[in-house]
Order: sequence, then C-alpha cells, then structure tokens
Amino acid sequence: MSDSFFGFDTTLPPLNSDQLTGLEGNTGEQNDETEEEDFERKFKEFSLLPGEDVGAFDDEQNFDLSAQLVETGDDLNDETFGNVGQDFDFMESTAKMDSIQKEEEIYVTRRESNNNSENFDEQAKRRPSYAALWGNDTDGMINGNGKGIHSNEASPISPSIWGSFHSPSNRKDSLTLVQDNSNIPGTFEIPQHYTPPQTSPPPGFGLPSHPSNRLPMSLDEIEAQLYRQPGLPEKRIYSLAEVEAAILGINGRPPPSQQLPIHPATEAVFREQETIAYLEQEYKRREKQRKLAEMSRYNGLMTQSDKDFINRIQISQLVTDDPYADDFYFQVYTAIRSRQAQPQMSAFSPHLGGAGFMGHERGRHRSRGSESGLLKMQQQVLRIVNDARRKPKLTQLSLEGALGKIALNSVRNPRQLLQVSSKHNDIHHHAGPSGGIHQPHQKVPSISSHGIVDHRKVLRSIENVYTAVLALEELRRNQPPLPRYAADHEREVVEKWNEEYTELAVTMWEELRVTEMFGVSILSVAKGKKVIPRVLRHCLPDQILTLITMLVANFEALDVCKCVIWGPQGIISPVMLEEIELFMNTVVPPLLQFVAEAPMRIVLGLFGLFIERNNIVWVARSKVGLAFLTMFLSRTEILKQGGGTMQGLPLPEERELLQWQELYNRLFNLLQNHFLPLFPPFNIGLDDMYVWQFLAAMAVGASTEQQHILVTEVRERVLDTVMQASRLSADKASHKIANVNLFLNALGLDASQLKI
Amino acid sequence: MTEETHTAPVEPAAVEEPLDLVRLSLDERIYVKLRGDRELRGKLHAYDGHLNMVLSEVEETITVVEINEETYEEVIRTQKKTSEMLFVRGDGVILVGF
Repeated sequence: MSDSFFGFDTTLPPLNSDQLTGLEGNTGEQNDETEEEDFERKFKEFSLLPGEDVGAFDDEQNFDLSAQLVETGDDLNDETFGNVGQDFDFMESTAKMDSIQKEEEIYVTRRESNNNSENFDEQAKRRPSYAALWGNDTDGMINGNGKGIHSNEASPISPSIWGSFHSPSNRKDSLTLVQDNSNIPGTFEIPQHYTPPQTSPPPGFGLPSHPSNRLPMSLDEIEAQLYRQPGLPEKRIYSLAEVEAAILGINGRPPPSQQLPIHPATEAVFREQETIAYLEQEYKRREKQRKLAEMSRYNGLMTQSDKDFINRIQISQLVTDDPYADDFYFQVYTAIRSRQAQPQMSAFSPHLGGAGFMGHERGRHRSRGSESGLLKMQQQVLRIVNDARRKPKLTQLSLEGALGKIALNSVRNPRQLLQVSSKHNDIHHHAGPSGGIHQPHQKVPSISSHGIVDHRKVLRSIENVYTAVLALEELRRNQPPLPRYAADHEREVVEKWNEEYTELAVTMWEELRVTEMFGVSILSVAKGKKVIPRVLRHCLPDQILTLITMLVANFEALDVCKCVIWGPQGIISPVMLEEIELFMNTVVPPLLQFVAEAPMRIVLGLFGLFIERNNIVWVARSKVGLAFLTMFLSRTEILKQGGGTMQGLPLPEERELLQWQELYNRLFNLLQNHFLPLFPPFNIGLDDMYVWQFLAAMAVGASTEQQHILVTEVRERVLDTVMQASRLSADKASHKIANVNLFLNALGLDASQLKI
Repeated sequence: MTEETHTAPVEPAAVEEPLDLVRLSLDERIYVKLRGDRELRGKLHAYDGHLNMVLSEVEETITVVEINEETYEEVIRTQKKTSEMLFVRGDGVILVGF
C-alpha cells in the first residue's frame, strides 16, 4: 500500500524472528521445534489465523479494523492533517490485532481440543501443541492447494508471507498430516455436525458453511480431501477450473454413511453449491487478510512526525491563495453542486468543498458551525499558507561548499528548461490590464492586408475585455462584507475594493470602445457577443444606455444585420444563423431588460435614432432589427397605457405622445408596401414568430386605416400559413396558428374565423 | 503564418509573448499542423503552455504516401475525419495558424 505512495523505497528486509516474537507477545506455546520452524510458524499464524478468525468470531474490534481499512473515507481527513489518532496508525492497531488474534487462537485451539480430542488424539501426541498442529495443517494446504487456487489471480503473493514455508522438514510433516486427515474422510465430519454452532446454521446446510470455529479447519480438510482424492500428484499446481471440477467430482459421490439422513442427491447438490460459495467467500477473506499482512510489513517505519511532515509537504503543494485561478473548474463545480444541494445542507458553503485549498479569510468566516474536524484542518491549512507567505518562494538553493545549485521545484514552480526573462510578465501582472506602465512597443509597419490587422486588433481588444471582466468577477467574489460597525479598517477595505473595482470597470469599458465604430466590430465576433452580458453586469445605467445608443445608431454595420437580410434568393449560411441566435440570446436580453425599465423619453429617443440612422426597410428584414423595433413598439405601447406607473414612472406627457405618433407614422410609411418581405422565405422551415410579434406590435398602435393596409399586405401570408397548418401534425399546426393569432388577435380577429 | 510575429502597436496587455497570440484565437477557427502528416482545422476552446488544445468541430486531414509496388511511384492520398470535440496533446503540434 504505502510503497509507492510516498515515493520511498519501503522494501526492507523482513523482521527477524526476535522482532517477531517481540511483536507477537508470549503465546504460551511450548517451543520445542527448531528455531527455523518457529520463525515460519510465527509468520503463518500472523498471516493466516486472522483470516480464519474474521469469519469465526463476531469480534467487534476485529471487525472494526477491517471496516476502517476498507471504508475509511474523507471524513477522517481532518485527522490526517491534525494529530493522527490511533485509528490511523496501522502499526499500533495491527499490533493490537495481533494480540487479539493470539488470544483467539488460544481459544480456538482449546475448543478444538475439546471437540476433537478423540479424533486428533493421535496427532496431538505427535505434535507439541494444537496451535502447532493448526499451523502445519494449513501450511500444507497453502503449499499444495492454496497456491494452486491463487496461481492465476494472485501470483504476486509475497514470498515473505507464504513462500518461506518450503523448508523441507516442515513440509514433509504437514503433508503427512494432511494425508492422515484426508484418508479418513468420514471421521472429521462428525464433530463438525455435532459441534454446537455459535450461530444456528440454516436448515439443510452442509458441513462447510458452519460459521463455527471449526470452519477454517473444515475448509482445509475439504481441500485436503480434494487434493488427495483424485490421486493427482501433490506438487501439481491446479487452475481454478480444475479445482472446481475436482469439487464437483467429489461432491457427486455418495456422502459418507455418518451423514444426516438426507437424500443423497439433494445433499450432493447442496454441498456442491455451498462448497463453491464457501470457497469464494474464503478466498475473498484470505485475499483481504493477505493484503493486511502485506501492509503490516511496513508497520512502524515512520514516526508520527514523519507522517505529519509528509502531510504538510503534500498539502502545501496544493494550497493556493487564489483558488479560482488555480483550481477554477473544481471551484465552479462545487459551487454548482452546492447550489443544487442547498436546501439540505446549507451549512456547507461552496467553499467548504475546496476549503483545504483556499485557505484564506473566506474559508474562515463561512465555516462557522461546521464540525470541529473541518475547522482543525482549515487551521492547519491556514498556518501552512501563512508560512508560505512569510517565506518568499525560493527557486534555488545554494549550500555552502556545494558546487552547484539545488533547484527547489514544486507544482507551481516546475523545472525550467529555458531561462527567459519574465520582466514583461511581471510588470503586466502588477499593473494589470489597466496598463499603468505601457511597454514601449515598436511600431512594426504592417505588411499584411488591413482587414486582417483590424480583425486581430478586434480580437486583442476582446481578450483585454475578457481579462478585465474576469478580474472584475474575481473582485466581486471577494467582495468584503459591508462594515457593520464603524470600524475604520473594515471601511478601508471596502473603500479599497470599490476603488479597484471602479478602476477595472473603467478599463473594461474603455477596451470595449463603445463610442467608436470599433465596438461594432467587437460585436461582430462570436466571443465579443458572448462577453456582453458579463460586461453589462458591471456597467452603470449610463454606460448601458451608451452601448444601446451606439448599437441603435450603427445597427446597419452589425454582422447580424448586414449579412442576414433575406434577399430574393433567401439563403443565409448556417454559420450566420448561429450568430443571430447567439446575438438574440446574449446581447438582446440585457438590452431588452434595460429598455423595459426605461422612461418614455429614452425609448422615444432610441426609437427615433433607430429610424433616423438606419435604412429601415432594409434593416427590418433582419431578425435582430425587427426584434429591436418590436422592443421599442411594445415598450412605448405599455408606457402609453400607463404601465410605467408601477415602475414609478410618470404617465407620458402630451408632447411625448405626439412625438410617438409622429415616429410611428413615419415607421409605418417607410414599411408600407414592404410588410410581406419582412417574412423569411416561406418554405425553409424557419420559425417566423418574430415577424408576427412585430406585426402585432404594429397593429396595436395602428389606426383603422393603417390596420386595413396591414391586413391587406400580409393577407396572403396569413392564409398560406393557416393552410399549411392544416396539413401539419397537431402540435406544429397549433404553433403556426398561434403565430398567426399573435397578429390577428391584436386586430381583434382570430384564425378560426378565417374561411379558406 | 508571418503575421503573428508582429506586435501591433496599440494594446499592450493581451499579448506579451508568442504564445499569447494563440489566446486571440480562442473561440475562433484555427489550423493546426501535427506530426505524422496530420492537420486539423477546428474551433479553439482551450490551450495551455504545452499547446495542448481542445478543439471542436474538427476536420482532420491525414496525408498518406503510398508507394506502388510495381512502378515505385509515390501516390499521395489524403484521408479526412471529422470529430465533434478533440483534445490535442501539445507534443505533436508543429504549428498553429490563425
């Protein structure tokens, strides 16, 4: 487990027997074997007995340990960073385990001696103790069958656990023992059946699945039986399939006469199933035990302070002052996740998820009331961050007397292959995009065509806008709380923040160059469109008005207008359609919101400017142009009907109403005879709802005479649409009809009244 | 490809080093030439200092030179693939065109 984790070479020579004896404590066995045997047996007991005991005993502590190993989640992380408790220390707990196992072993062997004294009398005389007997018995299994089972899946079984059994004398012993047992298959089954089991066995259970203490023995015996019966050579290594086949073969045989009086065939089936199930279970258990034993080899290699030290190194690599810059996706992800999960767990702010890596005030004042462990970890992290801040980050270290320099590399400071002066970057970093210090750029005469250079300038401006927007958003996230008390330092913080924010906002605004035609070019690039909603969030109402005025005045120049007019051929590239959608989804909504709150005076001003500056007949054929017109018309209509009073706006004055009427008439006159071409070509499958919306807005403000003109002009389209709807499926048809009704209802009509 | 080397005189902020020029093409369609006679055209979504890149709507062109067994004539064949989204590992990038 730990060998590669810390990058250390942890393969140490195995403990010697003295150490092992010390580790295991006195078990009270009579050690009359040779030292070598003793050593091996210790190993065996260490690696195997726990496996047997896990199943045999419902020992709580025992269970505890395995649960920790498998299921310990991050909930114990706090302890990783604080004083690691007992439960994290493998050495101590395994040592404890060991003594428990010893006790259990003694218990088992005692029980064993009670239960099996008649059967094993002979062996008992031969062997010094039952513990030794057990050890050797299983030993034989491992060398013979056990190895065969593991040969496919678990070949890297460490030699120090099992491999050291191959001492010839020992092996011979164990094999003879196995033979003794397995040659009399009936005898060893009796005690199992009549041993009072600790938990009652399910009805119809065969022998191997008794959850009693005898159970490990029974498996071994079965294995031994399997191993002996087919008469295969001992040393042969079985594949798993072979073993299974062998099991089937044995279990198909009639059971020994001592068995309970169950029908032989049924019993065979039962036994077969249970044996297989049991073998699987046992295999898993052993695997777990093996891993445990493997891990325990490294117990006690590191002291607590070593572990703390390494923890600190690892955490300090991850700690950052600016989690949004260094760990952006994680931060956003947790923010989104926690927003979804807010109702249940409001205590967990978005930052707690990443708390380990944020380490500043934000983490501190939001974690109030959460668990103490979390606090502890955060404190530790804070300390690390502060330490890191205090010590400037060294990139090199030259020791006295050393010939070279030692590079200190880290995640943030990877090994540099090139030494390029980063002066420019530093200045840029401190001055920010506001560019307090302008680098004296050489004027390179531009060779390339003007179009390309201009495009590149636009791209550059957009990037600058993005830089500013990102910085502003970062500032917003770090906005200091409003001072509750008259504390001077708090107010200072807020003031400083305001200053920074304003400065950045100005920079951003300047980069947009709204007042120049350049702003239009920015809006002609997809990412320029995308940034608008984010920009407007940091804008003052005045600035939004400026932007919208610029747009209205230069509408013709926008790509979404000039490239998207439905000509007679009616072809627009799909790329352009995407651009329109983007514009409608990004730029229009904030503007719409602004207009929806604007007073009559401003709306009329924009409306007038739009009609004044653009070729309306042409512009109105673009979707966006028409959307603008609809926006102005519907807002003025709402204001005319007194909708503005709810927003605290006064009713439009007489003068304004007159102005509106003038503008409307002008628009109507301009569009007269051009209403039908506003529609996109009929049969290209585009949704023409926006045109119907516009016509509806026109119809509402129209005089009776104008309404008549309107109806006459678009009558054909209305009829076509209704006819088309009658041929379409129900939901599509209803959509079409609803579109037409937008217009007809504004006139006080309905599509159902039409007679085709 | 020569235009990228100019430093335009106007804005100081966004472009400080050659790699910054790639930033200008974020969200734009670019051309990438790769080792192994491969070329990509697609929309740039992200890049890093190794020129690892994420591209979308990519058209990949692979040029294969086959030698006719009998006449020893070289036959140049191109193969095209399209991918919706592609992660390009930077170590294969030879050049990036805007």
